[in-house]
Amino acid sequence: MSNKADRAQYDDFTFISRCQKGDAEAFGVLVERYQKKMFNIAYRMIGDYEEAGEVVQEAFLSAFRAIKKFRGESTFVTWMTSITLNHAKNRLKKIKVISHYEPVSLDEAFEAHDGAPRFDPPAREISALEQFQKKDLQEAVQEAINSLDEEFREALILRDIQELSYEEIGAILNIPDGTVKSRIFRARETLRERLKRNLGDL
Amino acid sequence: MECRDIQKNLSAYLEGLLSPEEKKIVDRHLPSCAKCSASFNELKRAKELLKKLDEVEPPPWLAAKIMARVRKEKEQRASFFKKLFFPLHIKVPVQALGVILVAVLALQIYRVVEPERRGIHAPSPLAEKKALKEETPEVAAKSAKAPSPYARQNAAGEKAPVMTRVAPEEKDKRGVLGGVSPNQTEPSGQQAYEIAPEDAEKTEALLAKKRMDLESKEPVPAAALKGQPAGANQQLMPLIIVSADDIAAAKGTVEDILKQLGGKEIEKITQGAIEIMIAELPSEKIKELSEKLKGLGDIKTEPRFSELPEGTFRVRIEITSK
Repeated sequence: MSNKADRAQYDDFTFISRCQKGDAEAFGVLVERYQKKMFNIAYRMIGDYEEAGEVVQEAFLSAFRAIKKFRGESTFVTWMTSITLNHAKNRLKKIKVISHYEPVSLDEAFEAHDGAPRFDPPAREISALEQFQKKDLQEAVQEAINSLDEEFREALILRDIQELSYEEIGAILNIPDGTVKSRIFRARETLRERLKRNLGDL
Repeated sequence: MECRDIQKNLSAYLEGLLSPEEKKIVDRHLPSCAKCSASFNELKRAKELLKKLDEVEPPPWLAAKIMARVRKEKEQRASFFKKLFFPLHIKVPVQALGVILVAVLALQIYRVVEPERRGIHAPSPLAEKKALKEETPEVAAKSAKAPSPYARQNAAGEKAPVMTRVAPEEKDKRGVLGGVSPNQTEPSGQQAYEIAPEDAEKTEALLAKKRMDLESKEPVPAAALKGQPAGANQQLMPLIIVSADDIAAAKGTVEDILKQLGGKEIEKITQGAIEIMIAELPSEKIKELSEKLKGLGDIKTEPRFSELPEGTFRVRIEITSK
């Protein structure tokens, strides 16, 4: 895995340095490589598909503008993730999706947005329903994520969704190792509670 | 071991971050504690749910849109720089022409002054500059105004540059020196000068410098300052500079040639290390003269004799050592 990562990093540098010399098209390669990952990070941070699209565009544009300052002290992904998260957080401040952040009452927990029951009665049903459930479940999880404070949210996303190491997370968020861990643990704890509230039995 | 303590460490436990001793404690606690077990399971499940979240596909146009903005950004940067450095993009050429024009005019005046002193050449790319020159309404208006006379007292023994009024004409390439010459030299040595007003400043500077140059040079016999003979062209004084090994010999040869060609009013002047001969000759003869002088050594002529107009001129030949 380390070999692959190294190679990828090296490849990135080729295009980065071309871009630094004025080759704008070289940047396109980096966009192709990382747009999906960045989009997912943005999406999980914001919880909104359209907004995520905007954020990613702006993040890449910022990266392009700042490309000459990129020294290669970190990998491109790390740098890019950092930029994306910053843009996402700025965006969040502007958006007020209040309804998602209000604590969900036990009654509400049982209802989906259209009024149908949020989860099945104890007896498991057929897979079609399970699919529905899955979708609902994912939405529920996202809602739970949305309820977290930003610094916990980002730590959790990077650890449990992107599966990055503590080191990398520390580099991206520019926080020490201990802080990374404590944020992740607290985030998970809060998520657990939220999910429990939203879904009943996990 | 309190449940609270256990609870706090469940995440670390889950991650395998506890020390072996701590791990053992939790291991032992969990089976016997429903609450903590439940918490642990929930934690585990939450982590799983996160992991199981589908990777979302970005919109298909996302990369393309990003690159479109990137390219636009690059373009904007490029055009911004252009605007920064060439804000008067359209006007610049006109200004440049104006400057060239002024420079040309000043140079022409300078050139007329020269022949009286040791050989500094006016550059011959003058012809090219004239080609660039355009008649602007501005300049035409100025030259139509009466020039401000600039009189300079000239004590005997000091060299006095002769200057003519500059009146540029559109089509005549050599026309800078054409036109009326109100300039008359007086026997007493006093001379009046007139300068085209738009050049006053520039030529003032030039003159100031020249005056300083002149001060340091040897006095010239009054004969050199004699006015141009009536018949000769008074504006143009063709100049030939000859570089010869043996100046004395060359001088003799030049004199012979001048006589041969029918040169009139031959003058001989010595200025330091330069021998000067002046004679009056018609233009065809002057051309011939320059051909003959080529045989003596390297020569330089000013202006190019192919462009010499018809008429009789006082030609000045300077002989210097190589």
